[in-house]
Amino acid sequence: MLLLAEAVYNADFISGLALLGAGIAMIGGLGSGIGQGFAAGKAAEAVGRQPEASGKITTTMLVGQAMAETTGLYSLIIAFVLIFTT
Amino acid sequence: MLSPNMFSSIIIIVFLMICLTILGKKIQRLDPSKPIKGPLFLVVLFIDMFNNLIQTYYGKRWRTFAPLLITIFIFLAFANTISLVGLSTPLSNINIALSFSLFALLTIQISALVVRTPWKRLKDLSSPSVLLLPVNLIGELSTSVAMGLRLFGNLLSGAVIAVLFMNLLPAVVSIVPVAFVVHPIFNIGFGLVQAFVYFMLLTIFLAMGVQSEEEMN
Repeated sequence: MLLLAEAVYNADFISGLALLGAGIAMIGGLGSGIGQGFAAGKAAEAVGRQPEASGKITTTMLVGQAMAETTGLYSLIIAFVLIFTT
Repeated sequence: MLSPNMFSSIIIIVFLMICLTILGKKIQRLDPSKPIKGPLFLVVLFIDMFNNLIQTYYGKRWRTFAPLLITIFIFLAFANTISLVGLSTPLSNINIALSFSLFALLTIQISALVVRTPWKRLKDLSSPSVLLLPVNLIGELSTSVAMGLRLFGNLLSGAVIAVLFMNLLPAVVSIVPVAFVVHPIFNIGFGLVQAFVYFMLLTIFLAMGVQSEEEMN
């Protein structure tokens, strides 16, 4: 019990928990990965169905994937903030 | 003392101002009856391609917005690949990234207010019903903020991964994967894709703000 009370004020303990939190925050990358893969799969289907529109489909797919990537990047930014500010 | 990101951004701005002024003077002096030769042809082809792309979104108003959008694309394309020559990437600094989102916010809102007139703009913002006005306002704000943060996250992650690879192995060994894998993917590939995505999103959101719903279809 005494050890725990001492550990709370310990700077190493706090930065260790912040690093753990940064690792947990990056689980958010899972969702953006699934979303990007889904978009790429649908784009491949669309090219297979209509090969002459492949240029337009690729542009739309890239913009949509970048939109889906944003949520993953938010978790990355949170992880960076946790690493570098504590 | 300037931060290295700000310094490289100023270098890019001065370089682009000089180069684009020289190119513009050369293109002005061209003879329209003769075919264009050499690198000038590539420049004209590039501008024409982007003009055609913008024309499909703006209809008859494209001439107002095309110079702004193409300038932003050229600056971002140079800024995201500048780390190949040893300068630090400007967009991996949060201040520059957030100033890009401020730029997007002001561009979209001011041009929507000027083109659509304030009363019609208010009607657009409260489009399904008046109750949704705050939600629409938050939507207008968050798209612009997300545009800057997206650039920041992508380029900062590229820089961090490059530094991690450099420190992973001794410098003589790690120069090979960094030069042939990390830089082509994270600087050229992601950098150009992110520049195009910022350009494309600014085009789409500006077109949505500027035009009424009948003109979009």
